Amino acid sequence: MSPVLEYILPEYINYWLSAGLPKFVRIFWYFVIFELTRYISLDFCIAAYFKLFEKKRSKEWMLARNKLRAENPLISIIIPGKNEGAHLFKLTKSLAEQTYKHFELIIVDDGSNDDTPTIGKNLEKLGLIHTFLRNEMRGGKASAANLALRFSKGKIVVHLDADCSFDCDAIENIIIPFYMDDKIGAVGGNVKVRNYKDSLCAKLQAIEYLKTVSIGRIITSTLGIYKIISGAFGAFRMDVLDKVGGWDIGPGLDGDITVKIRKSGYKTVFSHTAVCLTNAPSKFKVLTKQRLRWDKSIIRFRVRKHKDVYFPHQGFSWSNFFALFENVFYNVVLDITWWIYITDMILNYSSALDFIVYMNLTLYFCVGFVQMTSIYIFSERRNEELYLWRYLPFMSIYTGIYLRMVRSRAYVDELFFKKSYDDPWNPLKSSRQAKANSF
Amino acid sequence: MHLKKVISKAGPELIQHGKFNLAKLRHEKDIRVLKDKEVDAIIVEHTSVLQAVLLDSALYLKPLFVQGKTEHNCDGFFDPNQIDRIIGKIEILTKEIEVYQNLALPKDPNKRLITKVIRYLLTRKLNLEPKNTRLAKIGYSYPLIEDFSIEYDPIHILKHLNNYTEEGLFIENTIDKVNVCYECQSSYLNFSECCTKCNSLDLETEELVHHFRCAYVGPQSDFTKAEGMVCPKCDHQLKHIGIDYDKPSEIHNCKSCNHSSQETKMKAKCVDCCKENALEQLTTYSIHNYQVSEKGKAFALEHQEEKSFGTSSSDMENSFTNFGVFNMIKKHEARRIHSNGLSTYHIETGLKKELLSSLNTNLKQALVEELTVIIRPYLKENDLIAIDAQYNIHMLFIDYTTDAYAILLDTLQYNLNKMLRDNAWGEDSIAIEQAINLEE
Ligand SMILES: [Zn+2]
Ligand SMILES: [Zn+2]
Ligand SMILES: [Zn+2]
Repeated sequence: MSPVLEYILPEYINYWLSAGLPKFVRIFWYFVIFELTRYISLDFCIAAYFKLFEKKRSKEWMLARNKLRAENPLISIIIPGKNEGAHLFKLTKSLAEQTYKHFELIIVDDGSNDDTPTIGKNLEKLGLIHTFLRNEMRGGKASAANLALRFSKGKIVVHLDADCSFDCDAIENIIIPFYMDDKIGAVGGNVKVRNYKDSLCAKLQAIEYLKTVSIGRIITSTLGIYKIISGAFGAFRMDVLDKVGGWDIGPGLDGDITVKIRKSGYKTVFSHTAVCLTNAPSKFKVLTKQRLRWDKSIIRFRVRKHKDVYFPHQGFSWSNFFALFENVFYNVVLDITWWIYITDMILNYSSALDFIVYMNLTLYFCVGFVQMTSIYIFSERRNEELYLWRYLPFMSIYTGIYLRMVRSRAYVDELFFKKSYDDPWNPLKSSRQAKANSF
Repeated sequence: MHLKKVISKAGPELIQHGKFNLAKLRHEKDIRVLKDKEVDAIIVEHTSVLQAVLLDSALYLKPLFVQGKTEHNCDGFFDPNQIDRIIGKIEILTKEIEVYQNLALPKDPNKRLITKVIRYLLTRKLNLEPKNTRLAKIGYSYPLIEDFSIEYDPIHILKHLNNYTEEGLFIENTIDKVNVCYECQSSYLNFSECCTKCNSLDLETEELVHHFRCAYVGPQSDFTKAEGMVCPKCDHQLKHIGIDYDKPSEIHNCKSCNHSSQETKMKAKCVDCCKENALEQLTTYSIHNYQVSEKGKAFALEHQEEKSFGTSSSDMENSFTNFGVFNMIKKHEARRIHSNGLSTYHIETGLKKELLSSLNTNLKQALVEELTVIIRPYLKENDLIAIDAQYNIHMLFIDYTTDAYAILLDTLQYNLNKMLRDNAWGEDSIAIEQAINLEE
């Protein structure tokens, strides 16, 4: 017998058996209070609720679909981006397969320095793209989206990323919710990772997307606090976009526009059957850069720009409050609390640290499996996703340590140094204006 | 200075100057008289005569001077009081043309033309230069070739020059490119931008403005207010380009179909035939100037006689009137007042296109010549016979009565058809295309 099984494991089990429940809760307070409530209790309550009303919902869905098909409104699909030329032809082909056919396709090339203009102009000439617009000077993602919006003629605007591909009913499924409720101003699509076979990094993100995007958004949407419509796949009512003035300077403009729409009194919902596949960064270095940008934008927009939602004012709404609060709480507050927890452990339980670390990993590992079960319940491609189950053990390190480190770094950078304004993601001219006006 | 004028009543004025014989031509007909005379240089008064000289296969290389002004090719201007001035030139040219003097010319009209042109260029030490002119359909002409041709078709000439360059007779040097109408080959085109979707010309072009502060982008008109430029999204005033805003591109709005696009379609409307060409429909021709190559020089020296069955080519050549000369005489005949009851008739026969296209150049020439053998016995001494570039036979019957002409026409038609039928060329392979009384 190996020494691990003979001595260490029994000692480890004995330690926790003899500790007793109160001490267990004291040591793992962070896990018990936050993770257990959120991912276990909440997930399964919502899942139960979701299942319970499935019949009613599907009936409403069919009614809305008939209404949509009867009206058959023009949809403007807009795709702003830089150096996306290579994806465009594939994208037009993916869109040609859509069950919903009445759309115009508007591509904005934001100062590409590759052969995007040539490709775009050719596709326009071939009639595969309705309008191809090019800014010789880069203006940033928001301005590119706004340019597309300015020349959109549709009743609903669908915003896509060029490197995405779509289930053939994705466009229809993202616009049906508008026909279920007049107060719905925007609908988010279900973004999944296409290249999950590329690398471990991509696999872990695929699992993460399933948890946060697919499940997380069903839950927030059901609770009425859905607050981030992904730029990769989101639909907006044209009149609502006009009202809020389109997109503001990013990064994080996806979340920002959702909040703006919510603040002007509209609902935002998630359509989990509108499935879009995207390529996730397959290297940790690229992923880190992306996440730093996203996490900084939480501070910049949720905490700074839209801070008014936290205070009583005219037009105050509890759902907006909770929508942002949930986001800030689960990201910023929990991140800070986690550091408090670490400090607590080092100060008070330094002698048993090795046991605590292992137990934490064990707990997160178990919770990961429980969560995967709820994903399995919701998913429309659960069998494909079974492939990912075997990578679950890595998730506790990925979410528990890696993502937390990145997040903490981003928060410090943004809270104290407003680093997001220096991000080359936006052209300098826009960042300077944004900083000066503290957007 | 011994100047001896020999005045002949009808025809050219012959001037002897030292060892040189100069002939002064007043009329195209004078050329025929010149045929059996030894002349060293020719002086003409009219450009029409000048062209007739260049068309003539015996005279085209002779030093040629014009009395008066002309834009056509010639070796200089003639002033009766200063003949000495041109003598030097005549001396040089006489030496230059000596080698070519007794060389025959090819029968094929195109090859014949190019041989003449090359020899002319070499003796004059010239390059073949295009001239920019509004009068030519494609905007350029080669005046020299024009003077050497009966019918000048610029596209046809360009194609031939290209072929000869490929054969290595010329070294070309591109000086321009012309786009011509797909329909009628005219270069008189009017270019305009139109809507990519509906072809309308009613486009409004505007600059796009990007307001940095709020990321709004729209056409300039969105921002235009009485008080200046104001952003429609955030109501801020735009004051400083580069600081507040920039203009990343422009956009065209079609007022006919409401389509907005950064692309426009170029349309080229032909002023001559009104066809609207898309840019890719236009035909592009390169315009070159041509220098005769070493191979071209050798080509000019070749004894270019082509075999034809039956008659020897030199015999045949002499018995045809050059088509250019033929036309001039025809024009002259049309103006001439005929005696009572007599008229001049122009008859043109054409071979069937299907028949012609099945034959190569040599065979075509041979067939046409064989047909003229049948025609010849019916010609009177003054009547003319000529062949044009399309292998049509032209006859000019001078001073015939209506009855005589009618019988002649009948007989000709019968005999020509019989010959074709007997030789298995097929029934009705030849037709009288034109038979006109020039007085009418
Ligand atoms: Zn139009
Ligand atoms: Zn503005
Ligand atoms: Zn034309």
